[in-house]
Amino acid sequence: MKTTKIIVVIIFVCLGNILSAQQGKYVRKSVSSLESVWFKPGSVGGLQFDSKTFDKFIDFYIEIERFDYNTLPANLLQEFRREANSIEEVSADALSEVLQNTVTSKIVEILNDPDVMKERGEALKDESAFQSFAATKAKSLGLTTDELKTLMNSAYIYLPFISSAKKESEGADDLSITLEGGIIWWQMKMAGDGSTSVEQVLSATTKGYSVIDPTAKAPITKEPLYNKFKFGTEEWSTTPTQYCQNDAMLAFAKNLGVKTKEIDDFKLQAQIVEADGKKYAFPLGFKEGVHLDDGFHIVEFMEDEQGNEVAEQIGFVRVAKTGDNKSDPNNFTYANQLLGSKVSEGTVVMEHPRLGMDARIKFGMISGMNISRSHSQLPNFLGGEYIFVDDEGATSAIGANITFAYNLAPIIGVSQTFLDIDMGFFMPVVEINPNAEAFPFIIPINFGVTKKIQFGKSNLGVGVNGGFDMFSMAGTITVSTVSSTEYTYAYSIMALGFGASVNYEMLLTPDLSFNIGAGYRLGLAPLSASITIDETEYDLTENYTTYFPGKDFDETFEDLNLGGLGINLGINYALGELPINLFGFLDPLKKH
Amino acid sequence: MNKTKNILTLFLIISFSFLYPQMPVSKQATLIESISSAEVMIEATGIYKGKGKSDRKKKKDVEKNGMSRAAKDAKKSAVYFVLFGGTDPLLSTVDEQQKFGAHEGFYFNSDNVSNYITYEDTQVIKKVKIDGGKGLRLVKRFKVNKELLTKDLEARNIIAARADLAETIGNPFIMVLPSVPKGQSPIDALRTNPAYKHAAAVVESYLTARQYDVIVPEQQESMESLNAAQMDLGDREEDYAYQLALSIGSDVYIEFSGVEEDAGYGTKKYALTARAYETTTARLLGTETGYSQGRKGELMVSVEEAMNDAIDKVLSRVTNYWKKDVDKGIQYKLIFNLSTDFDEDQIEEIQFALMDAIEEMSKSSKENIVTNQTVDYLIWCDPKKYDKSSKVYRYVKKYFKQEETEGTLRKVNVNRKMILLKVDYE
Repeated sequence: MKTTKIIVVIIFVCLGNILSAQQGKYVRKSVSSLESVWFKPGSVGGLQFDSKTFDKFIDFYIEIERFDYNTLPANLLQEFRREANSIEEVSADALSEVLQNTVTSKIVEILNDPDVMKERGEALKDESAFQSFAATKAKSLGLTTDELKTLMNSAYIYLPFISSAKKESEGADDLSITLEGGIIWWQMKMAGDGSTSVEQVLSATTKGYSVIDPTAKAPITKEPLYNKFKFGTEEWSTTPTQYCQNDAMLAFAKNLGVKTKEIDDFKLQAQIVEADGKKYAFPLGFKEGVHLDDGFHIVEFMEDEQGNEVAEQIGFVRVAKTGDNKSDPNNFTYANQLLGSKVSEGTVVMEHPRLGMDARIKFGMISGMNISRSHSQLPNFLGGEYIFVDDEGATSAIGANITFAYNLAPIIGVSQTFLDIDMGFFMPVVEINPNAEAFPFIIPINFGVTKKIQFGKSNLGVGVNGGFDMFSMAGTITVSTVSSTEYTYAYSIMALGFGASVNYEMLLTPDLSFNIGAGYRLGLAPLSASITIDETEYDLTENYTTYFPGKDFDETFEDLNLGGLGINLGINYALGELPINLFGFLDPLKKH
Repeated sequence: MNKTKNILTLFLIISFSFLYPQMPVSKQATLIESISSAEVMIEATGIYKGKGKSDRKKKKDVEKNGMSRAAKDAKKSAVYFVLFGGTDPLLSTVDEQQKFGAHEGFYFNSDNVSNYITYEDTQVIKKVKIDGGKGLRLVKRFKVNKELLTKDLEARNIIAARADLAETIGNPFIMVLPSVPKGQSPIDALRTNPAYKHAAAVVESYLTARQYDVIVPEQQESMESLNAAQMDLGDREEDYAYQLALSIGSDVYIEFSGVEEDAGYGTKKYALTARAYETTTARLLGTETGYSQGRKGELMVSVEEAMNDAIDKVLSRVTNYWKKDVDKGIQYKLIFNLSTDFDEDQIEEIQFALMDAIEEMSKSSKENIVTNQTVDYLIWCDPKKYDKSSKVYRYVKKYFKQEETEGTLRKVNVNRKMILLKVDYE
């Protein structure tokens, strides 16, 4: 990382909490949930909002390990709701006032609880506090005024809100739900004299979207696809509408989770305590919810010409082994440096929260495929026209591919192992019959696994995948029999395909990598073929001879090959937000 | 050839001293806490400036060596602070500092400096690149063994050894008492106020750890030996602490007072003021206020913490006073009470005889009060000749007898520091 990025200008102003004690020390926060969702007026139209599941997802993604949770009594929450509902014009400021009047006194009581103080007190103490007279001779680990000030000002309250929840459908086989909203975070501030105030620290917005075919069934079991929603080891019965809603909610809550972690006060940070080349250890771990492959910026403090201390991001590390600091506080997390020059002990690492999912866009070419002229023939009733002009047909295609890669590392314990889902769009390089006015294309859809082997800022990824390739030709054709008739058609051939690829990636920024690679895809003989003419679908697989007299489906397509050798280049981006839910059901299984 | 060798050696020594200077670069440190009578917690800053011809090389050097070298500099700064810094450094006089100069290399040698560090934070308080990355400044906390450092300084005769001082003029006797409003008994305060009792015990613990002789004034009976009616103590007659100290012969008495105050968030902090007085003159030798951290409850912890903060500095001032006394001699307070039966000429004759005796016997003296009934003197005597107050009394009595005045010198009360005599009409 040659260009040093200044993230914070005046540290004394922006990162006061860091400099007040030990640089780069994360102080656990005390978080209270209002166990409610604030629906902005008219936001939920005709949708029965599944609050129970929404709360489940919010609990999972927001109430994370780095926080201590306060359970507020039901009567106080009711009082909050009653007062909030009586506000004429609901705004974040008006809600702050209601919070101040209703729940803050209970939070103060919780914070003053001797057990809570004892539990949290030790973490608030500086390293040297354990060497003080009070700790050594007097055996007192009671909290001092400064520590109490930190404790009493580390309480936060959050409230998710929905600004719009829309359900749309264009028929029985189409259902989409869009959730728009966000989360508001307040900090409870307490002065030395015990007076409290509530201050809004964040209002972030996001979106969750899901689209399903409610009539869809599993290809093998023929069971309805959307009658059960799975989340980790849990599953519950749903209607397709509820499934769609849950799916959108999961994406929504997951995005809010990242936005919460992005609040400066909530970002995990620590000092590097061991440095061995570009491998570093720091005192964070499972207790704070650190997982394998989590990214951390390396932050260094510089004194500028005016004598101000400014924080600069000078590198990036990725967790190689998460420390189990729940049982042993000295079990450190180890991380490898991917960007920037070597640093020494005392340098600060600061969390870079991401979804744990990458988006990869690759542009490339496949050669060695075989889509011959005979494969492009239209059925007899469309005149039996060949779409390709040359006998040789298409042997190569160019196009692009988008992959969403879910990092399995925190689940399986193997760094940089991804579960991929990808979809491409390729156009065969071939001359098209002008009479057919066709647009041929290939859409591969695959699931796969990729393992990246990291060396410095580069990595070599080896992946395997399997899925379907759909060769399609869509266009209009004029058939002249008695009179000329124009038909709109879409001709599709579906085939299985398996592939393997090797990719080289170079990290340009913590989120962005350049990617170049090659792969081979083994295209199998087609499984099916169909043609849709003016919205009427004809199955060609079983009735091929009918539509192509004298020809057999298997014989015709036995030499079709939608695979080949591909080369590609593109980019990989670590996502911080994604409006759709992909592999979200795996999130509760993270344990490494 | 030899000349070349010598020049080369000299060059190497000079180069080495430039490359690895012994004194810390930063010299910045703050006292965080006196943890015990032997150890102090210091927050020290270490600075390292990158080496190399170009800026790039300097930056690279800072990356490679900055942390370890700046940490070493911080250690040195911590030790430097104990030696030279703050209000009460170990090397308090110019003479001591000059003597130290010859041993500087020993004390700030990287290996040796670590001997005085009993604890070092594993993490830094602050780490900041300076000079555009060509330097590094870090702040760390260390526990410095002040006692060991003091012993090393004594072993090298940089500061006077306590044992030598004790041999010369005897260990000073120190008494610790709470400060009370006039007319009240400090002993009662000690008995009834647990915080005061604890504070006194903390000071006594410091004193005994430093091998001072401590007088515990908790026996009310001691008071009875004081015959205030026979003494003219000016406006201090109601000051029990002063009277008690004087009566039982302490060299120094330490008076303290404390108050608990709100520190916010339901905590209280304890502020404690300790004052050390020279008993014979009631001269203030040192005063310091110590503060505890604010905390909920745990009053005794706060009292001890506040006292630790104050007493270390006060005692270093007492030590300095004691060192100065070595040169001046042993101090005694000498009070003569003259009978009212004498006429003016007789009084003058007696006074002159007493003054002559004092002049003859003492190295120096200070006249406090001379009235028709009272002669009050402070005298400094040769410790070899007058290591006991009774020797002073015997000499004065003998001398006075030789002067053949109308009066007879008799003893009222003689203790370690005060000789209270009366002259009766024969």
